[in-house]
Amino acid sequence: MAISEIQTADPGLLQQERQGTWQQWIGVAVLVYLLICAVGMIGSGFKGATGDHAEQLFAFAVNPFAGLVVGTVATALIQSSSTVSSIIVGLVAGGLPVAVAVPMIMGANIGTSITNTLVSLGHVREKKEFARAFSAATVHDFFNLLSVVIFLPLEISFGLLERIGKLLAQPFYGGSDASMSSFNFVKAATAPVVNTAKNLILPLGDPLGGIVLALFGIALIFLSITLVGRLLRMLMVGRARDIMHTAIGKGPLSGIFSGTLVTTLVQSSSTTTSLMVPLAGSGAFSLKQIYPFTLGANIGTCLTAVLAATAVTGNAEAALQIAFIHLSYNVLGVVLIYGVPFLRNLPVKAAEWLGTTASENKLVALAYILGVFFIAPGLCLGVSAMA
Amino acid sequence: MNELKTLSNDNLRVLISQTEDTLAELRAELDLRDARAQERELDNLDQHMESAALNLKSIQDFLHYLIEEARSSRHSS
Repeated sequence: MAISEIQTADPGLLQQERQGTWQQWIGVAVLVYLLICAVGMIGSGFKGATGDHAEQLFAFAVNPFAGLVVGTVATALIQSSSTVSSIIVGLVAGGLPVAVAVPMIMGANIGTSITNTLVSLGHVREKKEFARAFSAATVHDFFNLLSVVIFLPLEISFGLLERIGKLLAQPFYGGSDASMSSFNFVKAATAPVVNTAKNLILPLGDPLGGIVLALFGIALIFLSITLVGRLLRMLMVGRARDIMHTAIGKGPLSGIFSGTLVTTLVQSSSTTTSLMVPLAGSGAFSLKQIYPFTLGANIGTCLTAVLAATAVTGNAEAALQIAFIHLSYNVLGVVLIYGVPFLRNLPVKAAEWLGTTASENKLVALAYILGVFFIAPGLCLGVSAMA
Repeated sequence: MNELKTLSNDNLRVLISQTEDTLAELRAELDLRDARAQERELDNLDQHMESAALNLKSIQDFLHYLIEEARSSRHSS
């Protein structure tokens, strides 16, 4: 039997393969449920471990640059901004001050862009292809760096994002009859698992029980985000293809929207931005065409933390506030930087220059990755620790 | 191009109009080819999705490539 005959033999089976089996979808639902539970565990564990001294524990990160570095390096090492932002949401619920967490969230944005930069290294053997792929990867880095350069001083001076996040979270915890504190289905649904974990682990005593619970929550987040990412990549590839086919030739707004949608579907901004690398590397898509997709990825990745923030105990309003800060930071970044033509072109120009330079001398690529994601943050942390 | 001087204004206008039409057709054809190339790339999204997943092998390959390049430049100098 010819292969073509096998492929056309059972269209129902093909359709099922394309859309995924119901077991896979149940797997996704269970993993998302576990992710939300895990954030609740981190909050409870952190509160149990620190008592009311969370602020003292993170005293080193009160310096916003230190917070930024912690977020950058943690995300670069874990390779997932969703994981780091969910952990931050849990920590805020457990008492970490929002002001300390904001630069960490900004750092998570920078750290996550290392993944597609590393993916682009796979194109190193073809000079022109590498130049295009490396530019496509680093345009995301430059956008995120520019965003920090603009918003971190505004945050330090006026607490801009903190205010916006508070404004957005308040209606959900404002004490009205319809607020989340009066009926929260997500919290009610996750309570049995979170309470069981608390009852099993917290009797270990203070602070050990709290530390173990928080670490268990972190491990569970890491596991559930990794597995759900793998499952969704398999399940959503067809849908992602349809979305991107629709977006072709429809302008930047459509690109941003598609990037947001694809990232929400696969629950990983790294997947979306890394997907752009081979598309640009082949030369089929120009840097300016893939740029809006990568910006959409920044927005789409915020959903995980918002979802996780709905189920935490402890300082739930602050947890929702930091999740909304992440969302508003990324939306404002896109609106401001992409909205102003001068700012819009800066990441593109910088990425084009770096791509060309790195294709001429590959050591530049290595120096860039080590410098931006590890050495510069390390130096910042050292300087801020000494200050 | 010397014969342009002998053409009447009307003929020049006709020529410009024809050239503009040809240019528009050429641009449309180029856009169509670009769009087809993009469609083809997106049809391979399954493969791209796999290569988008970070693996240590690509970093290893990159480092090997740097070492190879350093060795070959040392030999040539």
